[in-house]
Amino acid sequence: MSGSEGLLTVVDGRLAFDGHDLVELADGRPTPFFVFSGRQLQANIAAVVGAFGRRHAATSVYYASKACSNLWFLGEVLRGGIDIEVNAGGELRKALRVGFAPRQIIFNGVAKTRAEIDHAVRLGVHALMVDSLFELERIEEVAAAAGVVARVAPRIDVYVPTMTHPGLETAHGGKAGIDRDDAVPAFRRAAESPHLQPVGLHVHIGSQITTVDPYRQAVAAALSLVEEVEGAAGVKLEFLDTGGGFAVPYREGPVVCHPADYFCSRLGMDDYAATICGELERRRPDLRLAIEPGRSIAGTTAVLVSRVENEKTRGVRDARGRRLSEDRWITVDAGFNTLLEHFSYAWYYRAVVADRAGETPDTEFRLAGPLCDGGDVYVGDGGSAYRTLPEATTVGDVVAFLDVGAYALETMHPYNARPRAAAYAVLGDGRLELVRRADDDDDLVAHDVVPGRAPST
Amino acid sequence: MSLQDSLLTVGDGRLWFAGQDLAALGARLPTPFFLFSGARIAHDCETVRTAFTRRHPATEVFFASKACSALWVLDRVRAAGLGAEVNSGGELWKALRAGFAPDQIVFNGVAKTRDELERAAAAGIRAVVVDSPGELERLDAAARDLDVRARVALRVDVRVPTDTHPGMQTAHGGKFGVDLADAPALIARARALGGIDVRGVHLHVGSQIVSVEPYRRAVERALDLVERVDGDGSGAEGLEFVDVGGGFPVPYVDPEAERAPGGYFRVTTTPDDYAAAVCEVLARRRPGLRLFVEPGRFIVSDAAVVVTRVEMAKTKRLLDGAGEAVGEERWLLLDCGYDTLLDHTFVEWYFRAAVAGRAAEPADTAFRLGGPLCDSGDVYRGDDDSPYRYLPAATAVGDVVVLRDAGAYTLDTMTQYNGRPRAGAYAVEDGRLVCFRRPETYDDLVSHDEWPPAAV
Repeated sequence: MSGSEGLLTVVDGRLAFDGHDLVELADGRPTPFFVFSGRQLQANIAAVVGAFGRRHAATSVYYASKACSNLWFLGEVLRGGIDIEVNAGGELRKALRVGFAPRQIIFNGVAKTRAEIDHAVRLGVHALMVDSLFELERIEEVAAAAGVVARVAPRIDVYVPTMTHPGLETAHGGKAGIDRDDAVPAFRRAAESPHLQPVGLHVHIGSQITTVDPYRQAVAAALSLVEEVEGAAGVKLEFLDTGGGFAVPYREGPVVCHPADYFCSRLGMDDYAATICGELERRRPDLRLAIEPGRSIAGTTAVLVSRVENEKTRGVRDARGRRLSEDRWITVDAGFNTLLEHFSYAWYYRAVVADRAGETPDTEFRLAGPLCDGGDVYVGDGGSAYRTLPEATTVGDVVAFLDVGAYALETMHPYNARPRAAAYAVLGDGRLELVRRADDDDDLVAHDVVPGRAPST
Repeated sequence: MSLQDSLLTVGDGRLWFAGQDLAALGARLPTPFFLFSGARIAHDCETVRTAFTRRHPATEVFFASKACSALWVLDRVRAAGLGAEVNSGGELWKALRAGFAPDQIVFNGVAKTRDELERAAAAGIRAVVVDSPGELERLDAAARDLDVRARVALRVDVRVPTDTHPGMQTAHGGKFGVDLADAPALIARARALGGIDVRGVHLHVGSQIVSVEPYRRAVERALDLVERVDGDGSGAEGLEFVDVGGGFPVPYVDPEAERAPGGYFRVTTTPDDYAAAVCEVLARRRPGLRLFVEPGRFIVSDAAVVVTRVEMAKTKRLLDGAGEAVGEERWLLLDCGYDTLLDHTFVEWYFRAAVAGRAAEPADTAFRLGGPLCDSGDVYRGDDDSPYRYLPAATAVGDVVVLRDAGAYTLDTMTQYNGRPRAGAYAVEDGRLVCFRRPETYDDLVSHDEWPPAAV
């Protein structure tokens, strides 16, 4: 079962998302565009809060806003009753703008500037995650200059390997976090400073983690570290932050998941919660738990609606150039300008021909985006090069990509001078509204200055 | 030495680009930012044009604007006498806005909409490059509705493999163009359509193609097709041009560099070599045909650097498979990640890095170099295919780092990921520093958001 399956219905052979006929929507506005579901967003928040809160009442949920920081979306997250994690000064400002209180905000990041830190400590955010010994000193200096005490939670690399995409593995010797050998010196240093208050310990093992074992290892390692630093530095921590990384089931089901296929997940929020809370309840029930779900909140909340703009049949040839068979190609108007990760991480998003939802998907197609790069071609179903779609699929058809709510809106860019797409949302009462306007022609040159002017300092 | 080296000089122990002290500039302007050289763009345009026109005077050069379509860059290219190749309605609109005449514009693309085709036909551009049979019919209908004849070239897949990045290979059975075998029938069909004026054949083998051989083979195959549809070329209806695309490579590393990745980053060929190969085939077989070329990367890549700053430094242990520490790694994290320089992660592109204020110090210490984003993939590939960059041992937070040859496929692929504003771009023109793309502010991050939502 795909993540957003519950929202998808077929009416008169056409695909609807949260009650809205996608073909009708596509006929009424320029494609491509995103459609979000406020209802799904609230359901996802409730699933996380429920799964963890049931097992460990003292749990704080911080939405990882890097997954989607559109203002409407953040406003809905706030309304859903959870807090927020930010990764840069821009995300911090967005969080404040929609009304999160500083005490609801935690600030991660591997390269925070002095200005960003200054803003955060003066606000009094709930905690700054400290990424290095250098940054600890920088925060201390800034806090001292501001005359405040900064609440800090060092991020420790607990060296836990996972089976996700290598670009999404974040606690196995990469750039993120403090070496675990430096954990005690970091906490000791923080404890000794009048301008730092060590309040927690942070770990984050990666994104789209489809087994619970890495969490068990990471939490066990983190709890041992908590014990060690509390003893050595003479502090009492308020919380352990275990990050996010909970997977979205991108594959169509029911299926048997190969462990190396990280698009395939059979886990529910209860599985992650049972593992994480189980360790915590057993060893440190007094500690507050902080978690930072991003993808699992946003991923299933949206579909991308695109249109087929080109089709062709191409010969498939052997090394000697002999025609062996034929490939049918269809090209849609959404490429890696709209859905970056389909190429950058070869991410798999299911595709459905919305106006042929009643027809049998039995024919193999190569599915491509509109850009000039040879790489702007969607990965196929089940590890093949092909998407299985209805045989009659043709130019003008509407193709919906599923589960595209995470890491999509903010990674759009106007490559090939293609305007960035709009986003709509189905609100809780069923109404459709615009939550992000599309670029128009003028937006493509909005930042251009011709002729150039002298730079201001 | 790479072409950029004459732009990038060392003085007082610091790096200078087009006469600008990069360490000083990095301290004065918000980082990261791009710095371009107008003179270098003009020079690169001239290099390509003369390489071809001195061998084949009937050559038209179109800048592939996908490589960088900032209005100032388009203006510089136009001033240098080149035309523009566009890949979408947006690029067509920008080219017209930058002052290119319709006759200076060719329009490529694998998914042109009916509206885009109408705009191209109405403007009367030099050529619409048709990608499929369906697109031909669509363009014909659009042109007839407008009562015009659209000049077209047919893009054919000449099936020539190359050694570039797989994502940049464009004529080897992928999504582009029509099969060579299907081309004669399609040209015959096009010649029967009232809205279509068939003028040429188009091919493009890819980007960063480091040897001339694929071009030689590709042009031979294209001319086979021309012969097949036009016979000896004496007929009045013969094709006017062959468009061989672009793909001329940029040397991203010094040939004599001790530590640098190999493969398609090492380049020993110049546009002269490509011109010689292409024009030789043309002169031998079809000297009467006009030649179109579409350089993109070559025109802008070495005309720019990214100026970025070290915001974080740390040392982490290096573990073996059993979790035992086997050494340490020094990490430097910049304020420029794949939000600013997409290709560094996206296609693991190699951009040389140098510390602007430490140009006199030996670059002898291994560092892991990362960007500021939350993804572990936001780490720069190393020198010599290792994970490490070699930089001066004293490199520290606050230092200005320069990433080189960053003019192509960068400005238009910047994103606002992690809530980071997109970078500004400056240029040195006649010794003067000007801004041609303003850096974003935090307000730009929400300028498209409708909140509260707007009724539709």
